[in-house]
Amino acid sequence: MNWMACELHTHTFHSDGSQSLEELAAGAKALGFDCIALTDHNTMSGLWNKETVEQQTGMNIIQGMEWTTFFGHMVTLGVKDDIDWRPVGPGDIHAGLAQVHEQGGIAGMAHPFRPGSPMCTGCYWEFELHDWNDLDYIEVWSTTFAPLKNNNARAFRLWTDKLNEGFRIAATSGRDWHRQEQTDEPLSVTYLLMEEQGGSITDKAVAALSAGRASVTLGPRLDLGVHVDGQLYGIGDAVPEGTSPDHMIELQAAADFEARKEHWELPEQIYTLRFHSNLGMVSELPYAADSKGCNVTLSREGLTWVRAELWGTIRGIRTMIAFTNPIYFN
Amino acid sequence: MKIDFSYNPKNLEDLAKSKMLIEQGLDRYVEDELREQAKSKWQSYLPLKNLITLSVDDPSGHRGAAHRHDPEQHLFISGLESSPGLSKGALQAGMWTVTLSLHAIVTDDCRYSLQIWHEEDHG
Repeated sequence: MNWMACELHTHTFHSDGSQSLEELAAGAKALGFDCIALTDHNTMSGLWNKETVEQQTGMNIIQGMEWTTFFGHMVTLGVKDDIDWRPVGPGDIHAGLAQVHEQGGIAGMAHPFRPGSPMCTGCYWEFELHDWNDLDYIEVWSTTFAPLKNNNARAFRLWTDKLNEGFRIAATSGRDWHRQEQTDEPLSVTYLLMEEQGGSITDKAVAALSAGRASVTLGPRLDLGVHVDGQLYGIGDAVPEGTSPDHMIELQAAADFEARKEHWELPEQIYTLRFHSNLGMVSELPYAADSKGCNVTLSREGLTWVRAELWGTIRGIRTMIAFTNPIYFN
Repeated sequence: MKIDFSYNPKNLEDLAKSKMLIEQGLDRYVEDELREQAKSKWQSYLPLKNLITLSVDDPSGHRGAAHRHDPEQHLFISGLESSPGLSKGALQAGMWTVTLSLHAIVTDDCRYSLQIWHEEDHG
């Protein structure tokens, strides 16, 4: 499998963007992305020349749509036919999610805490979600320099709360990219670990994100593994119930500072690597850019999930720079 | 098929009313400890805008949506081409539906005009 650098939330002039799919794809290519998802508001007509644009720009394009309702915006990937948003009320989200899943697609909350009407109707998630198992992912980092934004911090907390409640929901970033414009602000990337063979890029992206094989960053790509009983589990995996009597496991994390390195900038520093779990932070270690990774041995007792986080200073501000999706424990 | 659609006004010019509506929104959408900070930047949300989007259904299914802010749109659908957001393809005889969705109406008064007609293609 390969880690693919993805931008999962974009628009063209087929909705309210001011760029063509070709301009968007070329712009993503110039920024070192492998893959974009086109998620226009309530239409998929922007994908009409997808194959041509893929050939011209060398960019992989995932078929998506932002289901833009009065009560929430939901990014979807892999949906094939239109799903009518117009008759949807605040109690109808599960019917919408069922239609996405029937078509083999997946759905995530887009920018769930961006202020809603009258500033941006539906931007704030007001749907009544009764079963969080129906939701595939949450876009926890929206727009640019994402970890600094209060709305994103709140979305990240929501995600962590739901993981603690036992739900296995993925987390992503999305620029909500509407136009080609220069920005000095750090850009987020969602890396998806995709199968090399078989299926379209849309199928592979849907499979990767459904399985939680995602890692989000402003710079280096962070990876996480768990060694148990001679087996290695990766991001998104669920470790089966333990057989070893001492319940000891080894966590390992490594940040790839070569990934897209022409496209981000971090001052020389010693970073902090954190293993965060349902039991809170279980370990914190210094991490150097040239490190080959770091390992921690601990008991799995009481653990239901663990993720890695890379903290450091960017543009003079100390913040989270990258986080992985969790590894779960049955 | 051609669809001319426009509405007016687009922006709420009344600053006092804008401030009140933005503050009401922030009361609802921002957490307690960050609310005053958010309200101090209420002007970053200006201008408040009306938003009406248009979508089209033909007798057998959905033909797309034009989700964008332009208050004046000249749209068309034909067999071989269509405006962005709408789906090209055969124009089937029967009952068509054009829906206007009112995402936000922030002005006291907002008037729209919608004209739909069919032109024979001589191409």
